[in-house]
Amino acid sequence: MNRTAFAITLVAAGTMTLCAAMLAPGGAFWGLLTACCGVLAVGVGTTGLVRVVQVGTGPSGREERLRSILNSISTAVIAVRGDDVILGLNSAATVLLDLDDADPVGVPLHQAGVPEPVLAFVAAARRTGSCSTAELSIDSDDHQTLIVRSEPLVVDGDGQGMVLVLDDVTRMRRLETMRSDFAANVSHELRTPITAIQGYAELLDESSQGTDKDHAQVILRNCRRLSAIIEDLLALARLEGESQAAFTVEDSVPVHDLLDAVTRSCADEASHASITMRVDCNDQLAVQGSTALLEQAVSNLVTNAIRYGGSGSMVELRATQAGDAAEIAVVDHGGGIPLEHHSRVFERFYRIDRGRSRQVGGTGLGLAIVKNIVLAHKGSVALKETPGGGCTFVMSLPAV
Amino acid sequence: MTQRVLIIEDEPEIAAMIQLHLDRAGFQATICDNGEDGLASIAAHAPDLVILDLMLPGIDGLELCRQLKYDAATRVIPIIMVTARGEESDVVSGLEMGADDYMVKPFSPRELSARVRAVLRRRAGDLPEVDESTAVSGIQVNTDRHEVSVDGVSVDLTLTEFQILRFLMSRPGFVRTRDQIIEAAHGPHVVMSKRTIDVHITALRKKLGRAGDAIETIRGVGYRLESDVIATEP
Repeated sequence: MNRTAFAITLVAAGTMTLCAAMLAPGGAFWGLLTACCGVLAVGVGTTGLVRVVQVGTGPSGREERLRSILNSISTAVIAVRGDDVILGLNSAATVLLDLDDADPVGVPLHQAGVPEPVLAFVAAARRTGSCSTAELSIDSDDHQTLIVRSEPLVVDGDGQGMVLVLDDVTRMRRLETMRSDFAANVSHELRTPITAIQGYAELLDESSQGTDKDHAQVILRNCRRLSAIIEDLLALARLEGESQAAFTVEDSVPVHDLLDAVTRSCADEASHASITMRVDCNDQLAVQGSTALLEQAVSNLVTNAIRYGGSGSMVELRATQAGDAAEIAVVDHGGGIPLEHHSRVFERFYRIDRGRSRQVGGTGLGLAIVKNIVLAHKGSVALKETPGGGCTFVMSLPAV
Repeated sequence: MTQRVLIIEDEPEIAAMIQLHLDRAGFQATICDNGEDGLASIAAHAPDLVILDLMLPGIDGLELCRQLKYDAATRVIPIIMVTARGEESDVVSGLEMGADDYMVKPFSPRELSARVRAVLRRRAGDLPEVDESTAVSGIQVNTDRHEVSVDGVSVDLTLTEFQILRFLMSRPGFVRTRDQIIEAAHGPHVVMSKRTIDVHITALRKKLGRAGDAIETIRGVGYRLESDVIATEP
C-alpha cells in the first residue's frame, strides 16, 4: 500500500512531538502521526542532512514505526524522567554521545556515560523549568561541539520529564573557524613573498642605472599594485565571510564626521589632480554601522571620482535625509560611464576600458567593496548620471 | 660607532634583504631565525635595536617582546615589530607592551631603514619634553601655559584635547594606541570607551584647522601625528 510521498521537515518541535508520542502511545498526537506514515522524507534542518526512509504501514505496530522514524533521523533524541532515568533514545543519541553498548533505557543519565556538560545542562534546564538551548563543548578526543535543546515532558503524571535534542555541529563550527582563519593565512602567505620581491627590487633600483633601473622600477610598481589587489581581495573576503559579526557596529556615526575624514584622507590625491572637493551635509544626519568600513566605502567612491573626474573639475559630496534613509552622493563631472555598463560596474574586476584603467591605476575591486560594505549595513548603492555629464554614486543607508 | 641591529626573522630571504638594506644604511645587522636564539644573542651582547617578526617558530614575537620589556636589563632596547598577518590586535598588544614601532608586510625596506634611524635618534635624545621649541606641522605647544598655536595663531583647547595633542607631539611619526592616549589624557586605570577618544580627536582636528590633517587615523590601531622626521629618505 503506497501513499503519496510527502516531506516533513523535522525541526525541534517536530522531533519533540514524535518522541512524546512514542513514549505515550495513547496521546493525542498518535492519530496524526500514524496518518503520516506513508513514505517519509525526513529532512533535518539543523544539519542539512536528508534521508529518505521507507516505513511500513502494515500491522507491525505503531510504536515500532515511530521507533524507526526516530532512529532514522541524524538528530539525537533522549527522553528522561524527573529523576534523570532514561525513558527512551534513538540510535543517533547512542552514537553521538558514545553511550555504552548495554541498553541505557532505565538507567540514570550519569550512569549511562552521558558527558558532564550535558548533565550540567539538564540540571540547569530543570531549575528554569522551561525550554532552553545551549551550545556545549565536549572535551573528548575529537572535541565535539553540540547544540542541545530541552523541552518539558509529562509522562505518567510526572511533570519533571524532559526531552533532549542534540545536534552535532562540530564540523560546521570547524568550517567557520577555517573560513575566518583563511583571510589571515592567505594574507601571511602572500605578503611574505611580495615583501621579498619588493625588497630586492629596491636594492636593484638603488644599485643599477639606465634600462636596468627602469626595469627595477617596473617591478616595484607592479609589486605595489599586486599588494593593493591582495589587500582589496582580503577586505572582500572578510566582508563576505561573516557579513555582520565581522565588524563592530556603532550606534551613531555622524555622516558629517565621516565625510570630513574622507576629504582629509583624499586631500593629497585631489590636489595632485587639481580637483576641488565640496561637502554639503546635513549636520544632524547619522547612520548606524562601522566608521572604519563606511569611511572605506565613501573613500573608494571619492578616489574614483578624483581619478575619473578630470583635471581641474569639482568632486561633490552631498548627504541628505530621504525618508528613513541617509543618502550620501559622490558626484563627479568627468566623462561618465556609458549606460550599458551601469548594471555591471559593481562586479569585481569589471573594466569599462582596460587601457584607461591601467593608466589611472586602481585594483578593479573598489566598487565591489563599496557594494559589500553597503549591503552589510542593510543599505543600497546605485549609479546615476550627473546632469551635464559625469557619474553620481548614491549610497543609501538606514538613518538613525 | 656603528650601531648594531638584531633582526629576528625566520624567513631567510627576508632577513637577508633587511640586513642588506641596513648594512647599506650604515648599520651593523645580524640575524637570528628564531626567538630562543634571539634572546640568547641579546643576553650575550645587547644590540642597539631589535627588528622583530611577530610570527616566529617557538617563542612567538609578542612573547619575546613581553620578555624583553619585562627584564630591566633589556627594557631599554627599542623594538620595531614586523607582521604579515595584518592582525591589528597583535600590533596594539605589542605597542602597549612597549614596542616602539611596527611595519606591516609588504613594506619598503627603505622606509624600514628610515624608521630604524628615527627610533634610534629619538632614543639618543631620550624623549625630549614637548616645549615651545617643538613645532610639528606648524603646531606649537607651550606646556607651562597650556597654550597651543597653529602658524602663530592661538587655538583654544579643552584640557583633554591639550593632553592628547601634547602626547601625540611627544613622538611625532609614531603610532599611539587608543589605550595609550586614554592613559596619557586621564592617567592610568581609567576605564573609558575607545570611541570617546575618537570624539576628542575629531574635535581636536576641527580646532587645529589646516594643521588638523597632521593627526592621522591608523585604522584598527590608533593615531599618530604626521612628521617629516620619518619621511622615507632616498
